[in-house]
Amino acid sequence: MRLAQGIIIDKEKTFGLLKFSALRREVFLQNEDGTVSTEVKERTYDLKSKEQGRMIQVSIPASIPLKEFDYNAEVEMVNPVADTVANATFRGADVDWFIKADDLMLKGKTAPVGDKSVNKPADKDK
Amino acid sequence: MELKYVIPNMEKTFGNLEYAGEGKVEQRRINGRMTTLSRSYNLYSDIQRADDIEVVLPNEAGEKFFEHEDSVKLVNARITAEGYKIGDRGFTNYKLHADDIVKA
Repeated sequence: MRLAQGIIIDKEKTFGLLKFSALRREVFLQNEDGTVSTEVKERTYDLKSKEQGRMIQVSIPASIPLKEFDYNAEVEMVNPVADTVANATFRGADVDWFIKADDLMLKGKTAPVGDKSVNKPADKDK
Repeated sequence: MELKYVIPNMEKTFGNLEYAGEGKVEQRRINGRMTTLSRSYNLYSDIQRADDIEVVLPNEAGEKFFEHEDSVKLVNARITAEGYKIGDRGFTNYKLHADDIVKA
């Protein structure tokens, strides 16, 4: 089946405890001629997930400043969205999951009051 | 990256579920005997309207009997993804697994 309306995930049950590991990559916007610009589009971080038993990658829009948490700091994703991309192989197709979130913050800390309105529009883009 | 599964927020992802009917039964010959591995059922969702929802239950859950369009809910639902291809393009087929179906 397709699940055309997307999957709203239960982040606690799906990922369990998340620990910050590192910044993995920065994705840059492309110029009109197809060359890579210096403007960052999003940043992908590695997080250790207890429920998945592996490192997961989550992408955060560039409007959120670079996160520099300590290694193994317990973190929480804000509004994570999980989706997949399928690639045809020689005999079938492989599926990769990816996760986008509005923000990443230390567990137990709530967003600063002024922060919410800034983050809101980044909700549904894929 | 790979994920074992994702656990959906059932309310927001599927809304209200209704029973549609039974689907396929997966059987395998074990020691010369046909043994049921899993049974699938079709459900209707008022949020995911594109396809019907296909949920796979393990053999241990037993057979389920509901009336068409009975309101139901799933126990411990989780979603996995499989790929298939048409021509040179890959597509995702989501599979919903649950431990049981009960009346809502």
